Amino acid sequence: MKKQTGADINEESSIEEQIKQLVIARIDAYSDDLNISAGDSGSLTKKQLIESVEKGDELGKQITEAHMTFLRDLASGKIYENE
Amino acid sequence: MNKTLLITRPRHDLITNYLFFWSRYILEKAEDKGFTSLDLSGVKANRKNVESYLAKRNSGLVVLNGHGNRTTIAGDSDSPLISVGINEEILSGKIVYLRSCEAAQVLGQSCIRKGTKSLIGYKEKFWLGYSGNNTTTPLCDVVAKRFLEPSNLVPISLIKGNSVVESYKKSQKLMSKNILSMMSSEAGQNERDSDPYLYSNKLNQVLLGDSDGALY
Repeated sequence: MKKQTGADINEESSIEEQIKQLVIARIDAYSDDLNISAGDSGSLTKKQLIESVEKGDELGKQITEAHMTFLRDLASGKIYENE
Repeated sequence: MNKTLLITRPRHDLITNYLFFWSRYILEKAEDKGFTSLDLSGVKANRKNVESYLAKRNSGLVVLNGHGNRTTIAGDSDSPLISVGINEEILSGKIVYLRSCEAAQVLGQSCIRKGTKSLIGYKEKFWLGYSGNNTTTPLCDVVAKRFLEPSNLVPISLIKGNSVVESYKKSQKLMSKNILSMMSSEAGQNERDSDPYLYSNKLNQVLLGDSDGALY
């Protein structure tokens, strides 16, 4: 197994940061009227969604995962399956 | 043939209020198909009522709306209704739909091990997009409709006599249709922006247990 170097770790965290900024930019474009509910996390406004993603808390990770899976599957065409 | 439905509809916060209103369509279809329905709404959505009803009546279909986590689904004021290691046995022999976050994960598996015939639910967050301008009129909310129509389709399809797997597939198909139409230029901005969350619901909706089971 290849040992992870400092450069690899830096690259990984840089990609993570870029993903985070991409998701924040997407949410920032929402209208103020859109709310998202995530069960017991309650009703989330655009501002609260962005805060969670920025902090990288559990909810923020789930929001990021939802966006990135959507974008990945859109690019691969998987999203068109079952249609 | 078992045409009996038990449904819980807590409405103690904005989101459960959306589920409360949108579940009307499930009750209407049940009535239309000659089902006997016990509607545990508002404060009546509690563990005592659910256990009492299920002990007395042979309800074929159980629909539980509410907040949840991996091990519990809740009712009114987030009080636990069914929890792992506590009372999953009361769902033995039933077809169950859990409209809540994560409950299909550990709780769902545990229910199946303890005799639930079939279960459809969500193994991760159940997301709901909605318009802040429609919170007092949830049935007029076009964004919420994209999420709640396909999720309603699970019990509605079961009530129509379709099998569990057919009901699951119909719900999946309507989510796919909505996901694609929400990307189109004809969709409103809020619909387009909430699309990733509906896609997440589609990926996280699971069917456990006997897929060929049906109510009649």
